[in-house]
Amino acid sequence: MKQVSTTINGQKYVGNAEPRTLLVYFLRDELGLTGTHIGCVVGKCGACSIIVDGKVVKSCMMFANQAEGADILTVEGLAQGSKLHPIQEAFWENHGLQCGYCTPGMLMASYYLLKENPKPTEEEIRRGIAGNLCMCTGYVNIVKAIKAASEKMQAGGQSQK
Amino acid sequence: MSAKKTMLGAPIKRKEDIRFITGRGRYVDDFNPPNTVYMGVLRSPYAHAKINNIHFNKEKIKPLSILTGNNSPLKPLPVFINIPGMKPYSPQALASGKARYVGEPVAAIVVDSRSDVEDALEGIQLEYEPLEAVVDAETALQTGSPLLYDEWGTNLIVKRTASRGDVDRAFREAEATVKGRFKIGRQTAIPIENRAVIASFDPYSERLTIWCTSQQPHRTRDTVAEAFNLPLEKVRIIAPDVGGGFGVKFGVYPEYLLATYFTLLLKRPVKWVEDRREHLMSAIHGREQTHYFEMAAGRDGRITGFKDHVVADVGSPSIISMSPPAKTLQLITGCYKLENFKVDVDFVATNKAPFGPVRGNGRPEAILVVEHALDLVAQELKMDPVEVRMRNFVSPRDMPYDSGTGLRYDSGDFAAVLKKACELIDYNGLRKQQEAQHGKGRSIGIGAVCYVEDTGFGPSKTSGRPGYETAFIRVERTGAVNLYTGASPHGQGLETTLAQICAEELTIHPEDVNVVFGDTERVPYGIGTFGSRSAVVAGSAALLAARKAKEKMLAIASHVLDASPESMILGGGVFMSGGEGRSISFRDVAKAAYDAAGLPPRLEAGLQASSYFDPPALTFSCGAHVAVVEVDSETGNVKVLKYVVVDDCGKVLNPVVVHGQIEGGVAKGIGGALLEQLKYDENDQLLTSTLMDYLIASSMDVPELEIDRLETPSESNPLGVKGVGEGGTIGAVAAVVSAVQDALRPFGGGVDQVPLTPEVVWRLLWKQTG
Repeated sequence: MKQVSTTINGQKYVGNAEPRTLLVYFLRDELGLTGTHIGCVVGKCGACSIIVDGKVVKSCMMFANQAEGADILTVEGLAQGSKLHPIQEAFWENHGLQCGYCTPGMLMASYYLLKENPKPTEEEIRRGIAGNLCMCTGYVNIVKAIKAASEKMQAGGQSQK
Repeated sequence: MSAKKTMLGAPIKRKEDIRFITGRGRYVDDFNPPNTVYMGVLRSPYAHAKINNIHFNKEKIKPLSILTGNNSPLKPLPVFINIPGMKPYSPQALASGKARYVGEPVAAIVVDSRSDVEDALEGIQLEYEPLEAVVDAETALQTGSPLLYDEWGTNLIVKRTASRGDVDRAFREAEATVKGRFKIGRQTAIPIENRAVIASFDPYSERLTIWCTSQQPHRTRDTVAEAFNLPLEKVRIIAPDVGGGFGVKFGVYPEYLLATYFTLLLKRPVKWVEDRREHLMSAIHGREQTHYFEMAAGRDGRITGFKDHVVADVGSPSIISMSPPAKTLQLITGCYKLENFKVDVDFVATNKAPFGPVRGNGRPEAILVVEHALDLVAQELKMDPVEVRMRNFVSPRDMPYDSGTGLRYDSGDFAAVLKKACELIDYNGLRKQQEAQHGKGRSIGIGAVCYVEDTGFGPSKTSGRPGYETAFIRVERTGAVNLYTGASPHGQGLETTLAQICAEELTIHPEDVNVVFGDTERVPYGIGTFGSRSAVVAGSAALLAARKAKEKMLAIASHVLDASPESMILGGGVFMSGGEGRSISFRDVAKAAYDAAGLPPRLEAGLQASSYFDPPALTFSCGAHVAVVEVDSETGNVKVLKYVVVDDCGKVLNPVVVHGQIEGGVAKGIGGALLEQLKYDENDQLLTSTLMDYLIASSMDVPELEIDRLETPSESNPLGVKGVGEGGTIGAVAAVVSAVQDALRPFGGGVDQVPLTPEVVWRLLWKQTG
């Protein structure tokens, strides 16, 4: 067991992790941040996508110990209090989710995509979320939601945190 | 409380979404009761083997408890779908005596921490005596094949036939015939959330609570209570947020019983969360069938006869393994008026994972084959495939139509949906473009198909199983509404649509209706969410319960206002007396019901009602799908370029939800047609045990869809709705296959299987076999 301290959603977290503990299990089981989900543990489905030091990461592909000192953003940190992030709003308004299980990862992948490329084309959106699998929506409304989020963020002049 | 008369049919944003987009959804694995122990399941590495002794490696972690099949006291799982005349079998929670597929549970352990599970499992060694296995259904039918159950003397579990007319004569007199073999691969549903269970027995209250990823909590409760001789009222099943089901979370799995066994023994909560590998090797598989079909036609394109012999590979049979092939047989004639047909289905046991429902449950297979046969007829007669379909549809004048396979289609205008879909995509224009591009190196294919689907499972009387769904409504003292549904949603948006139904009936806002589901202690006895039934059956129950509550409110309002009950109307959240112009708000009537002092004589206090809606008949959705694909002749890769759906699922409650169901269904169908494949090698090992090997459609594989609809209201329920959960998939597999066959016409067609992976298509292009 080793102590791991990280900043998650702007808050300091300290927890214990075995050398083999994956970051996603650390978040969920040790820190109680269950918004991040597990779907495959081989880095394929993207349900566990989070932002680590500004980059989108599949948190089943990282050990907890590698996150020592990292600055992490998870789905729980997207909204500011009761004010939803424009990406969350857009997913809601465009029916970009059904069972909700892939949604946190999908939101974080979208967050990174729009941070890197604020005005993506449809093709770029599709590529941007190609590493996140969804079995409910057929992606149609997810693509629409990301496009709408991009427009919202442009219109609102909203810079991402 | 505002009033909106357009609630039903309005594209209202979903109520459930807020918790999902903020990370506050609660799935089984998110619950961690104190003092929990973790269960691990040891699975057979052999497809077929005798199980002998058990050994422990003392250097490994010692489990708190262990159970093996050979010493298990657990009763067999009750078989849910029985076909008359089928061979008897008793699915065990743990294999005893012998294991029949790779991944079959053979032992289970519990340990103190989740991270110790794998280590502890490595410390148990079972002695196996491998037996010759059979993983191919046609081989399994041959004499001398290894047998799953020696006492059967065969692997043929049962054979079913449906027929009508004189099919031999039809073929003798046919002006044209086609025939083929079509192999549908083994696939599964892939909810992104794997299966999970927490079983927790409280020794003080002697109550058992189980959280599990279930599509039908009450059935799970009944099975668990019976399996452990527990009083029903002491067992509570909670299916919290469930991350997709699509059929694989339909039944009770061995692991749920094993977790229950351990919690009863250890008096501690027991948690099991499977990984994707376990899911792929032991959760329900579906689809796999081989069809030998023949179709006879006249020169005018009229189909005169159809024969099909289906070999359905149900794996090592379990509780619902017989369901998909039985459904295929019922729907095999699709949208077509066939006077002469004969179809046989062999249900065959093999050494593969248990079979069961996967989105569409046998229906996509049926529609795929009949549509493919029609394509071959069109090709043979050099007719346009849409024209051939138009000449053979069951017409609205034929409704209700007896399919001759045990179904009675209630409604549907198949020609109209196909016509509309062809117009939307400009079918004739596309055909001209295709002609113009012919020989210029691009292989474009157009597939236009039509599907029909029985939805809204029930009725109890004809299905022989409970086919109703329940609703309990309680209008609270504030006028807010709690609606308790027996359905168990897991992505279908029922919290929104059921709220819309109640809100419409009570003329209040959907936001004032809270929908409660998935907890056997809170909701009335429910049958569950499967088979495109929730909106139809649970929706109707919600409407009828709300209507009963409204009637009581009308009585209270008329008493309070001293107006005649006949003159009372409810509108905009206000009860009004038509003649006298007096009124009382919805909220004040609710308050009066609980304050009781001002109630009319003989009326009880409170405001609640329930409904057990049992539909008088199945109701049939239909739709047309048109796909345009491009086949890359270098690589065999298929890309879906355009896609149009015209669906008729009766009255639409919320178009946002309905379109979402169709879009997700189509993606599943495209994946099924092109990508998804559970593959066993010659040593009977599953090769596709991660999502790296088992491919599902990604955002790069599914195009934007154009969706339109017709609305033929159902007459089998008060809402006029028909199910829509599976139609997208049913139509899409057939449409994509039809489009690929069309693209390959210059190369002789020859499509004979799904999935049409690049390798399969490349071989068809270059006619290489092996």
